[in-house]
Amino acid sequence: MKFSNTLPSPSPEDLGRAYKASERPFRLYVHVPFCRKRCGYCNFNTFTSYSLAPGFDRSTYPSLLEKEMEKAKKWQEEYKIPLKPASSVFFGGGTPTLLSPGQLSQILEAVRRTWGIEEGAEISVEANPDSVEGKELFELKKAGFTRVSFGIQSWEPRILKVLDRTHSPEAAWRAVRKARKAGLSCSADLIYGSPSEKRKEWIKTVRFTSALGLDHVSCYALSIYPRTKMGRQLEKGEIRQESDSSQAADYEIADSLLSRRGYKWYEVSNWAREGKECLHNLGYWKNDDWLGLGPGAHSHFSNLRFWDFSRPGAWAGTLQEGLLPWEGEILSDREMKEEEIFLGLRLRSGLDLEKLQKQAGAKIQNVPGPSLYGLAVLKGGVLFPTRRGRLLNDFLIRSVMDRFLG
Amino acid sequence: MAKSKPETFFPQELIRNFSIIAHIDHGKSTLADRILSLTGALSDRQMREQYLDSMDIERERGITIKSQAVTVNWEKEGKTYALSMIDTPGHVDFNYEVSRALAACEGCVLLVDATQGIEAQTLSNLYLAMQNDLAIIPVLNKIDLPGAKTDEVRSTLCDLLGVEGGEVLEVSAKTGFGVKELLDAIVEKIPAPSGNPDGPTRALIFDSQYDPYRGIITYIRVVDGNIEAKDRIIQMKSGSSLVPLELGIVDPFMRPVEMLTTGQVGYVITGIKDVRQAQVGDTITCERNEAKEPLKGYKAPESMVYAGLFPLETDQFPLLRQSLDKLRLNDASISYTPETSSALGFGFRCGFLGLLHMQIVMERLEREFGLDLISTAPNVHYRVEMADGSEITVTNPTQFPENKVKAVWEPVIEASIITPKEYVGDVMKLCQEHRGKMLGMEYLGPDRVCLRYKLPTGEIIFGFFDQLKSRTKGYATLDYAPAGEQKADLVRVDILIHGEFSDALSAICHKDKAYEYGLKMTKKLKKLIPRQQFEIPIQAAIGQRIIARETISPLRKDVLAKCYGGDITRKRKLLEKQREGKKKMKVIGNVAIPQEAFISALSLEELDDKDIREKLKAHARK
Repeated sequence: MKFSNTLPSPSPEDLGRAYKASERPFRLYVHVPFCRKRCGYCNFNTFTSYSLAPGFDRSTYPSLLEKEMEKAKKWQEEYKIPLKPASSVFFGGGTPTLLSPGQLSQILEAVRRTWGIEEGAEISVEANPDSVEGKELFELKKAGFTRVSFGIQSWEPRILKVLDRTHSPEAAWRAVRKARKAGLSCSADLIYGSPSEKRKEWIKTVRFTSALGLDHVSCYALSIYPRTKMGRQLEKGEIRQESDSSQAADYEIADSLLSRRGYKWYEVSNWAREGKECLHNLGYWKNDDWLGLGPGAHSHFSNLRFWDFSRPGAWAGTLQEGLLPWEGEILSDREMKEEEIFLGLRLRSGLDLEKLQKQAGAKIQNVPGPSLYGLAVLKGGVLFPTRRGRLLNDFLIRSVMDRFLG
Repeated sequence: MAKSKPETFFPQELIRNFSIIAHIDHGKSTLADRILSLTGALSDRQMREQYLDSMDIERERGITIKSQAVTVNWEKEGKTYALSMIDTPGHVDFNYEVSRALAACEGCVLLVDATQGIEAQTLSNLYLAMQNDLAIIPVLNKIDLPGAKTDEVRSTLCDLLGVEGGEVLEVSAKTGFGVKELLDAIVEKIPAPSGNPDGPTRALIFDSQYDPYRGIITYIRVVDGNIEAKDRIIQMKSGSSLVPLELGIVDPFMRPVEMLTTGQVGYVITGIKDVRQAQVGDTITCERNEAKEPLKGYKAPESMVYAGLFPLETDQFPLLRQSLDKLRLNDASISYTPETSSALGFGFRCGFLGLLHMQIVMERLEREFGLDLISTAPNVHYRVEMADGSEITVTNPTQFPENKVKAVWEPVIEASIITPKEYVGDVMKLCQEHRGKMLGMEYLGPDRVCLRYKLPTGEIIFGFFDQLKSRTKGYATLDYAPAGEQKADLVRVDILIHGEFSDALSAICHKDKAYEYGLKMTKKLKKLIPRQQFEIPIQAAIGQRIIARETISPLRKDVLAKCYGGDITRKRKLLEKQREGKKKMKVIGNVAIPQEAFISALSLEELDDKDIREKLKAHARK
């Protein structure tokens, strides 16, 4: 018999009992684990089948989510975790728009019923350019959605093919135009460093994106994970991973082009027009509280981090038994400090060292500028990452952690 | 005729002491087994049992199948003889031990595989036997195999030994063919021991073994006089004096006896636990009949190869010290002194008999004591004469003085290399590359050549044997023996990482090889050191002069986990893991270097690189 050498994950009850009250905004995330086709690079918790487990398919999914909401609310009440209206709601995936606007509205209504949603809150939905028609975007706007984030990735058909994306550049362009017409704030996700992508193809993608009049752009370096289609291609030598210096150049190009067009970076991978930052995602970096719903969704309440079972069968089965399908961890003070450091250093607003110093009893003088290799500058007690510091963010984080945590 | 109940007392004229000289795989142990069963020392059933579980049986019942000295009885023409087979270690690192084992014999069986012919190791042991004036019985083994070149190998042996073809015996150890004739020949051709039975007692220690249950078992050959079980014995070199717990012979069970007489081979157990008090080559005498003069030929074990051994985990340093102390109980030839390295922490500079010995010791330390070790590149010791007339011995490259050196002396060896004749050119080239001086060359039969070279010891400890094997498709065999020292033009090459000197990577090389070492080491390190967020120069230098340089380009972007969908936990765990890993790294010149990089850099592995070959060619033209 084999024994696992890790402690069993705390149950929802353990988590509830360990909660330490702390005043933070509350946000809500809904995971939609359906996709028409899995992209070559994707390692998310998503499935191309529409029927995932007994009693779990596209039509029953909203009611399963309602069940989880109900149980989660009871859990909050039982352990005196304050119930607050959501400051933002985010539907991510997978492909949320594989649910009908009616279903999405139904889920949103359930959120409103359970917690309430703040007046004027940001309500976002992720969409594949080819999974939405103009009509649906109008319906979403009517249902209260304020923002849509399109997985555009590239404007180059060749690269879209490399990435296994199903949409065409034309479809993406149409979708963006319709969304703006519907009055939704629009964002585009882009991917750089795709195998064989030429520098000028990336420049074209950024230029074109920045000319569309979107409010928000995210640029992610392609990471190839093992056990994905691309991971296997990489192993077989069919594709090549772009070098870090090439990816760094792509990043610098995007940063320059986007800044010139009026987009400011506010998080390592995110640029927005003034006041159009994605508040929901910012909440992750600012350590707000949020509840995630759906298989594999992550949640955070003060010193608790937990997540839904990612396997659809286990997730739905547990809910149907009337239990919360969660496991998680209770953070130590040290772990919370670590998080504060690595989350803060991803943000334009920087890491408040003075605050950290008070908590840790460490000295700011221990963080002299030059020894951080020009990765950050210290101004008024706050450590701001430079562009180099954004590119070598993990190194910056480790250096600061080494100084504060030993 | 076989005899089942062995006698334990034999008059001198009925004793024959011999060893079997053979190359690995030429069938020595098969022949020994065959002799045991043929003489009735072991029944076939016992043989099988012991074969199955020999280790445990050895411990529990004190049987030593693979004993250092087994005595069997053999009857010829109505007389029963005691034949003692004395084993010899099979590697050049243990040359001295071989010479002592041979000194305990009057003759030897030269066993040669008829499909292979004679090998360098065999030849050198044969020369040792000849120097000791031993009677030599040439024997061809595996004559029944289809590939046997019986006639050819026989004529080589005849040339070598100056004997007639008819004197070369033929056996098949596997089937037992010819073994009876061999036993008869041992009785006939090997003289009885010639010691003086009435002289003062002198016995030669030719081997000693550590047994965790019984302490040190010392194997001896009584040369003059006799030893009784109740005698107080004296070891003349170490000066220790005690009454043995047990005196006996191995037949192959350990059988206690009352007395060992002139010419007899047996064992003594004294209860001491430290092998250094029972060193090979020492003479045992007894108080009752004390000798004034020890037997000739004692030599303290001499280290030939030195290397720093360091624990990977710094907290294992005390354990390393304890382990070395324990290991020295059964291996007197290890020497060690504490050493500190900026790169590797606390460890020991250890001396070994040779490279194989070093590998054995490291393996034992890791396996028996649970240590994780890293070793620096092995080196030999140098004698440095300073300008002011003083002299220092350098066993560690960092001790090598940078200036005011008058002369440097390096140890040399004499090597015999036996190779098929088509590889003679390659072998000569290899030896020249390693600063060898040819001493002689002779043909052993029509196809095989023995080359004798004088080579600096430092040149052969690092990969020489592997190169020899690869250039001769595995056919060449090598043997060597220390042969004094010679003046040499040596320099110390240092390695600087990001401008900082790393003591573990320094090496002493010949002036002509310094560039090659510097080039290879900097190349290797470039491959091994992970890129950092700044540019890292890696330089090789002699004193202040940089002779080679590589640059590790800076890392421009690091990509760890993203935090999609708020999975902060994964990111934190990856960061924690990364920081843990970094903490284990050694920091040199602000560069964090993983242990594995040092291990690989210090490994004997050769880096084959087109760029290196081209640069070396260009350098040679200069």
